[in-house]
Amino acid sequence: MIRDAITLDPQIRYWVIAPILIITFLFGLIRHYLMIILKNGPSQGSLESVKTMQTLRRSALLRENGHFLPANSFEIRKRHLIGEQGALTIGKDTEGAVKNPMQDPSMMGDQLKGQMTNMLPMIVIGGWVSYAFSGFLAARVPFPLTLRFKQLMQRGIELSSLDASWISSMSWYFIGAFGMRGVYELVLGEDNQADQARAMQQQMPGGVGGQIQDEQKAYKAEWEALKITNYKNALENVEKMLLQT
Amino acid sequence: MEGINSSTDAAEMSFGELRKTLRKFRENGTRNATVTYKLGKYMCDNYSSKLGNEVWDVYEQMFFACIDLGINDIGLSYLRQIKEQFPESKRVYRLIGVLHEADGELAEAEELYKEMLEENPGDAAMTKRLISMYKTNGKTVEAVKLLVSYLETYKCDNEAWLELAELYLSEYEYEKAAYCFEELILISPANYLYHQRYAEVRYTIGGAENYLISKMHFCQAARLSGNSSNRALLGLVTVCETLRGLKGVTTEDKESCFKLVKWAKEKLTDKYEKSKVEVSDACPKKNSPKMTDHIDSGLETVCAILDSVKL
Repeated sequence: MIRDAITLDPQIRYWVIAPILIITFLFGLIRHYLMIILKNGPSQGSLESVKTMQTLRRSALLRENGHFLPANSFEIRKRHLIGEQGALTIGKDTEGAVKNPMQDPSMMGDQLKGQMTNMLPMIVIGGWVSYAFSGFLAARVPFPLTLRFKQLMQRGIELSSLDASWISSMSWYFIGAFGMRGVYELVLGEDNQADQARAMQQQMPGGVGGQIQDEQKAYKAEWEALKITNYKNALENVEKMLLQT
Repeated sequence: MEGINSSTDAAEMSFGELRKTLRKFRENGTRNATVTYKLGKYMCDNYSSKLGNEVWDVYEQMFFACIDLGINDIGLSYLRQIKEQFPESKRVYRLIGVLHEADGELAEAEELYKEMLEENPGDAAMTKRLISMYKTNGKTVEAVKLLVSYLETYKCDNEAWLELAELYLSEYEYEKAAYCFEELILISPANYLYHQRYAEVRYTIGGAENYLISKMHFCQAARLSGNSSNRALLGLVTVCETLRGLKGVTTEDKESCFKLVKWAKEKLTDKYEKSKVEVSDACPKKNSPKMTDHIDSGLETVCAILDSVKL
């Protein structure tokens, strides 16, 4: 079988596999401490943005749960929010500066730092590995794999006849970089900054929440939603329902 | 908490158990000072190096335990260690304020809080500290003022609304308290306690319209609690009785009130009878005088109220 026809030089173990692992690991450690040094304290949103969030939330609560209140109380609140001087009306009509994360220097700084500590080592070591070890087969997994895995396991080697269970040096680097969570947890404790997989998750959009990009738009949507909400007393039939129990 | 009481011996617990218990206390906000102090002290004496960064949380916990126990000087020693580690932290300044309060140096504490708030007006924890300080000192007006300005920003903080409601109630400002309870109902409409208290406030304000609202919310409270809230049931009886004796209430309403009173009365009597049986069953001596007497007197009170209600 072709699987057994290839023999790896034992030197590869000492000069490719081990160095890649060690260097990825050490970079992770450096990243962890660099992040701690560079990270600003947990930035609290400005008072204004907290206020906006809470106003919008309150309006949403009124829409959802307002029918538990007496009619008068509901109307007072509605007027307070969307009346002429209401909080939502004012918010809707003021041309708020559209918040662009790129324009907020503190935010950009944070993002840049994150990007830098995330991407730089990836590029540097990735470049180094592909420069020094391109074309190496570094290891073999002890079980057969389907052809699909070739892209994953044999990056940098374009041999269609090669069995998929061989791992190229480049792929070995990726496996090492993303699979070190357990090791870092042991060394640095939980919730560390070294894990690549976590860093990737953080870059996914949508996870942030709590920040509104365009306040005016949000105000307007909420204003309209509240405007068309009609009061209906939810407790009208509560007596009958109670008597049935 | 799982058999942990003041007689628990810290020396018998392993490091992992100790850490877990203290963490649980911190997360749940349990301020069981005696136990916390005992466990925490053992922890700090034996495992402080093993804790890593968590040691500062434990120190803070110990600080509060010391304050609660009235041993302020020991609390101060923990505070010093925290302060050395985090000289600029606002959380530490809050602890210093708490220590001032505990020592009775209220003016200093107030000044410190105000200074910190000027620097960072959005600091919710600091504001709450200052409010609770005003409240303990009986400065209700200041407390209300600050609380209102706090709620201007943090509009959905139910804790704060509840606090404001209590403050208004203590000043007999029932209309305003009612507003606060309405706000609480908006935030969590499934909590029967808010409905119950709102109904009570409306009942206290009085007037046919308020009685009707009160009745509705007592009903809702009874329903949400699964008829387990005696307070709601009794409130229902009271408010319906008042409504029946009132002019300007439609006959239809009066009829439904009649039904409700009958229903609630049945439930209440039933419950008290049942609890009487249960207690006398649970007592080892069949005629243990204390417990049954207690129940009897409770039942008598309720019966007296219910009997005064003419059906």
